[in-house]
Amino acid sequence: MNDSHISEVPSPLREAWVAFLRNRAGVFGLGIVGAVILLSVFGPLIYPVDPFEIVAAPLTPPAENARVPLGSDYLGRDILSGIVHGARVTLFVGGAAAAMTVVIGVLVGAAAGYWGGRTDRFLMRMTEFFQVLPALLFAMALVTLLSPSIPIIATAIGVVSWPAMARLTRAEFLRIKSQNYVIAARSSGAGDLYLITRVILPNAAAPLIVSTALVVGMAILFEAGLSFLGLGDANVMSWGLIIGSNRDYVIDAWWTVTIPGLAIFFTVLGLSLIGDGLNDALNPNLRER
Amino acid sequence: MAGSETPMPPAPPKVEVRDLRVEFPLRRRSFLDRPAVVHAVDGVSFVIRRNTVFGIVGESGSGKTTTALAIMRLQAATGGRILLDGADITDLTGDALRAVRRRMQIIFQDPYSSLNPRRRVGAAVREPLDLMGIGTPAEREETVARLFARVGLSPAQRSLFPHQFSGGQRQRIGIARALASQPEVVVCDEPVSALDVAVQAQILNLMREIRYDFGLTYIFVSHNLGVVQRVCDEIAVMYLGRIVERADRNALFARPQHPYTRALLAAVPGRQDTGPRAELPGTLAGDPPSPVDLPPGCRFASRCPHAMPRCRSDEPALQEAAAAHFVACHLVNP
Amino acid sequence: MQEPVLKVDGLSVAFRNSLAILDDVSLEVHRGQTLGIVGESGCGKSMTALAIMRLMPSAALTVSGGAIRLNGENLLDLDDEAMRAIRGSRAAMIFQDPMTSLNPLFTVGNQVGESIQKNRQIGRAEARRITADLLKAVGLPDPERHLDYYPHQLSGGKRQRVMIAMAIAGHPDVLIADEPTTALDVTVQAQIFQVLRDMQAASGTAIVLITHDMGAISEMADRVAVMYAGRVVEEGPADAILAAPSHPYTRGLVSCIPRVSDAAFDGWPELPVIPGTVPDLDQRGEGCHFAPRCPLADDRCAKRRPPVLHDGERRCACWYGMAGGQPHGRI
Repeated sequence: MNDSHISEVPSPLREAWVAFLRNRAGVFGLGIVGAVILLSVFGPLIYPVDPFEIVAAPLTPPAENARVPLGSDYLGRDILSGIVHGARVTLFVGGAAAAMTVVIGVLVGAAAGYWGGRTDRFLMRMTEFFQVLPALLFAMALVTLLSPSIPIIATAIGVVSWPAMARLTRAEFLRIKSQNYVIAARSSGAGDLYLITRVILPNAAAPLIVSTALVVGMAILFEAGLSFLGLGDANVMSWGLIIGSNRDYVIDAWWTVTIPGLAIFFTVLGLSLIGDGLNDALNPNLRER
Repeated sequence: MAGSETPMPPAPPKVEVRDLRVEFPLRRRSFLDRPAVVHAVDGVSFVIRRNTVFGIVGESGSGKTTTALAIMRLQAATGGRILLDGADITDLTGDALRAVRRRMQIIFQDPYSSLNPRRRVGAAVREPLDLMGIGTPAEREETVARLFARVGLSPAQRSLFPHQFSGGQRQRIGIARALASQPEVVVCDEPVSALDVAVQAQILNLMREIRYDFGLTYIFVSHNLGVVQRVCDEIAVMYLGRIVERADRNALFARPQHPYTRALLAAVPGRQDTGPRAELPGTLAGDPPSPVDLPPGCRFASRCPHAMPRCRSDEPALQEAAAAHFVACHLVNP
Repeated sequence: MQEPVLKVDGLSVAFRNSLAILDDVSLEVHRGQTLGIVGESGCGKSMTALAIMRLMPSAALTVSGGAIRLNGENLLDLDDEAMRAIRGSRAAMIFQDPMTSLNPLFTVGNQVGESIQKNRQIGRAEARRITADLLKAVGLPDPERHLDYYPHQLSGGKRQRVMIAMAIAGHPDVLIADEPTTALDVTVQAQIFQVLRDMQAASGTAIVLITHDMGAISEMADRVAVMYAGRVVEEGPADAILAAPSHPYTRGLVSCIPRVSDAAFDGWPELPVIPGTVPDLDQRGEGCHFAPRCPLADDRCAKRRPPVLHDGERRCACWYGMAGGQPHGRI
């Protein structure tokens, strides 16, 4: 018994945050993603040029015309404006797709892992069905059949990426549900919902949070891929759309594709670094003495 | 204890187990296999009297822990009845089950996995009160503080997390948690075997005190015969899902009858009274057979030095071989 | 008296060059004999074993003094390659958990065979034959069949037999067994003890048995060393020490572990205890480390390191002497 330790009682969350701040790569990633979020929120206010308006000669290279500092696209639209205004949509698609992935994946995985038996077998067969679908083709089909609008695109990405999350959640639930503290809670009359949401899920959260960060990055790449194939929403500016609409001019006007490409690259890199940092920060926290 | 010369009338039954069975289906390798079943607990019966300590001993795979979990309704029984104070609790669900759960609690072996690493230990001890809606929030906090003091911890330590405690301290927290709902029966599943030697005695003494203070009936599951000899009033020896011998502790240790019980006692190194490095008596050969397709007859026959042809065909029943001394063996009950 | 096979002389191991994990540990074990080392976790018994094998688990741990002599040769003077040659041949070790000590991807025959081939220039077939003989020696029935089993197909007791077979393959002078039966059932533990004794009788190997179980000591050990917080507090013949322990810690250890008894019991007797826990590395002062938990301790115990007293074959480090705690001969 050592009462001297009692004064400082860091919660696990706070401890993880302190550990995360010690990880330089993770903080760097957080900086990038934070900057992109700030850009998406305040960028359009500071740089209000309409990304669809034709403001210069087509395919003006960067730093040639002060009206289009990062050059113009094949119609003469401002690339910088596209980056600034497209950030919001790109992040929205990533976030919405990731949210959908997490909701479906965690629900299916939790149910399968918690109840096991027949429920598990049924849900896992279903998961496998979605996992073996060729993801890009399925998303393309869905977008073509319905409409190439941003919510549909986000849904399509969510539908093809939840199985991995479901499997991860199931594995964590299987591991944790046999721990004695779960049995102890049951012996005190805890119901299924309490056990799933209050006892097991918080202990399974670490790997799920890490993979959510990675799913956001993956969804952003997926949206760019769809846009590149001409299946993006042509009415809403996104980074993918800039790449997609200029894909015929890659050779003559590198900047039209490279600049939004770099924006995507750094955002996804930032998300990956955050994921790595979280992984390191959340894991030792679970280690027991 | 005083008054041992005038035999007291036996205490009324607290827990009664009749022909308890727990089977686990094994996954079939192909459609052609017939489904295999593990008989973890295979027809176990006993009566535990109020305010006594009932010991269940056996080696790994004997079904001792599964039996205890089934009594607590934490493991589904596939057959048999469980009675608490004479009332059948085998099929209770919902609120009725919840009410029973308040009366039976468990202390686990591993103090490291029995506490939620993400929850402050005070909240862990309060959890049963929260879940069962016992008392107002202020009363619950007060109960938790009192329990911390009772098990030898400082109430201020309630706000710490499990990893900030040693194994012995965690086991004290586990005991406080088990006591929170004021249970009548406490299952102790190897409560000290994961602890350091010097800490074991400290925890056993704590369990001894609270047993008398709270008027508890213990079901004490253990493989440590030295501990069981001191704490249990009655002992059941299990082997591969069955009770092979059940008796008062002094009768069991002084006059073990089943060949398995004898072998178990003989295998304990360094008995207190024999000289050191005594010749090892004939050690039991081999490992227990797999509990999946058990051969007919006595389960112990394959390792038994006295096995007769009959042992390999007829399964011996648990019968009274001496007063209140039950043995399942053809040799003892011809 | 002949020279001991293994003689640890004043061994000290420091953590980050400052905190002493082992403090002036001296032990010896003779051919054909078994030395038991007992104590709670944190007392340094496993660290002693690892230090003898020069298998320090961390670079922050360094030997800060003393000698480890195997047949007179100081192991601390050897370079890494010479030490590697000694491990597995002249000194071998078995661990508590035989599952994690065996490679799950190789059969028993391959693993034991390889450890034989490492030390001797022989072919595969010859190694396989020797392996089968070793498995037979450790009491595995049907050794030919077990050669082709993978570790997960064996029970815990059989795995520990395989580990012992591997350890004795090089005919070691000393075998260090670190809690070899703690993970096993009691009937299987008795089998393993029998195997170790048979092996010792046949080859004369000296055994260092590390355990927390006084029962195992009384069953197996000729001599016993009781360790507490990095120091040896008492050492001598096992039967004499178990029958009449001198050091207050040994007395506490012997009495607080309930062993099977012939006495009859009534109710639930209160057990004797050693209060408190082993102090952390940074909480150990100059004086007797056991003083905070000791019923006899006084000011002198807390401040000054107790002398090591000798009485025939026994030694004990206590200010209160060797007469069973009766204060005598204040030094």
